[in-house]
Amino acid sequence: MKKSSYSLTMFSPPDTLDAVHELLQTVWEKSPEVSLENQIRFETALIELVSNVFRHADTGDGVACALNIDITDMQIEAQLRDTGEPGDFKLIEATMPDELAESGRGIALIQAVVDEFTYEQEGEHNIWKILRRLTPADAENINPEEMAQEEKTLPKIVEIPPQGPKIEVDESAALRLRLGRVPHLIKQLMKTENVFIKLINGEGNWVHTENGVSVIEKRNGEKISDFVLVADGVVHIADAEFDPRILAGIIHNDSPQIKSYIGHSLETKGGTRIGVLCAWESKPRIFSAEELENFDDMVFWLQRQFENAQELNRASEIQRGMLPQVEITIPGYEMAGFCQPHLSAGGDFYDWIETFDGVAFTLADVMGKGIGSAILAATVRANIRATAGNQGAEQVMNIASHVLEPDLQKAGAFVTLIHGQLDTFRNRVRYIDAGHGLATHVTKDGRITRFATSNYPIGAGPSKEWEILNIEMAPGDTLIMVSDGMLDVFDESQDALKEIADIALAANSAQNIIDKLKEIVRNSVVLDDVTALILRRS
Amino acid sequence: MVYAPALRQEIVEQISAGYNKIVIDMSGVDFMDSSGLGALINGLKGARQAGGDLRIAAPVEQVKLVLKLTNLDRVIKTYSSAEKAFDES
Repeated sequence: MKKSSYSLTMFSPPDTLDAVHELLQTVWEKSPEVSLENQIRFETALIELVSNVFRHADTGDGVACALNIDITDMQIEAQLRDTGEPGDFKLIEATMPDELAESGRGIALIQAVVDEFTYEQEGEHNIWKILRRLTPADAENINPEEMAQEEKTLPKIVEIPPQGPKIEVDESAALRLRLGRVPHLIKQLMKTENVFIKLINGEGNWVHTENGVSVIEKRNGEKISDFVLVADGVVHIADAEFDPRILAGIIHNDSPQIKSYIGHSLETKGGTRIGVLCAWESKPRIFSAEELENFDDMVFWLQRQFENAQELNRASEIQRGMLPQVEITIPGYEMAGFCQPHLSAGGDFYDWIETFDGVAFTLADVMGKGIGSAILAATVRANIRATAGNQGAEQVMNIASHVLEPDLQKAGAFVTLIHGQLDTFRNRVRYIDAGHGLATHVTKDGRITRFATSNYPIGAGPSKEWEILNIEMAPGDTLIMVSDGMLDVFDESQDALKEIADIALAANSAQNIIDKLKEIVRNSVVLDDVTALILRRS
Repeated sequence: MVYAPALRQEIVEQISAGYNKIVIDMSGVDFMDSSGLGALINGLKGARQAGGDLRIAAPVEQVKLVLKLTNLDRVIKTYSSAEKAFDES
């Protein structure tokens, strides 16, 4: 098979995306058989990827990347290797408020235009791959119907077994991992062998991590750390055998191998001391003023990390508390849902509230991820909740849209949302979809109906009239609603909504469907908030 | 990425100068990424807030594809030329 390869090395700054455009210009000239549509798709994905790497992987010294493009009759593939900080740190940090809209859309865009998009770490490098298959059928000009078709089956990020430590999508895990790197950094910075972050656990004892294992030590006043915890500023011991504080019995040292030591207490914003950062050596050593200053900077940085983590945990807790906590009892029906934010908190939620004749339920996805989206999600939820118990679906949406529109406009965000109201007497759901479009109705005998939407998302301009669907629920029927994050967990060759419908058909209860979906999500690499809500007639 | 901040700024200036019906002539734009989308959405919101609208004229295939795949073709209207964008009775 004919194969052509192209490569390019960039260093940004000063290199820009123009270098990539120019390279692709050459590629297309040499391979005129690639259809215009495939050229456009591939170029869109690659530019998006490189600009993301330039923006997010830059650790301050710039970022170097090597780009390789291989093209055969069957496919065109790009591999980008960059020197940005390894791991998902930057991906996680890139989703802090300002960047939200753009970075979220960027990744989604790459996934939408090519067939495969993967990421892995190799040593100090990040390796990104994008692949577009070239089939004879694709070699036609852009066909709007075909594009509309592809839109429904977004490719997902292919899961690759992690080589380094697995980065869980959980802020506390990300924090642990970030903290895990700190001793390593300080070791390099101060050229010392033993560096520990020692924290106080629930029992009031010391706990630290050594080679990935938690080590617990009694806090008995016999250790240097015990002194450091209550001392002001840096504690520096150049030679333990001759240190006046140790000789005078002010500092106790029950570890004879410690000859020199440097340590500082760690405290929260509120001033609570939670542990110490310390480094020690088995021979005497005088740390220089510069080293002491570096150490101080590290302490400051660490404390900021703790504060951020505490705030995020709090936000996460509050948001979890806003999801329905108890099962709802609807005669003849079951309802179940789950919501897993990508970060500590996110823009997805689901909710349900009892009405006199059944239940009103909502699934919503605020653009973006993270705390900013979570604040908007809480606002949306409160608005819907205020009316959903005693107003019709249309009225609920009118009020929500009227009240939320200005806030969303100001925030530069929009929300896609499904609101439905089940009438258990008529066995009918009054259903409004504001730009969401990810719901299916599955009958007991396997007939699947997807609901398209013609309503705008809330925040994208006032909707004048809502298109309302009436969904008849026969015994055994299931209504499945998901957020787009759910689509990402299925293989690109699969039709995600069909797969979920099949899961629903095989399951014996609404909760059973949710449990299965949860399991699939747990085993996938997901870079978005994931939510699912199921209504099933028994 | 290169022109998005400038576009964002320009739209804000036009709106503060009192214009609320804005057409972006895209005929000279041969490539747009997600930061370009961000700028358009930002402008659209500004224009609608000012009681007007933002529309785009003569996008190339790449721009159409990006709008289509992000579903933003449903919120930003496209016209064949800048003259036609607000040519309504």
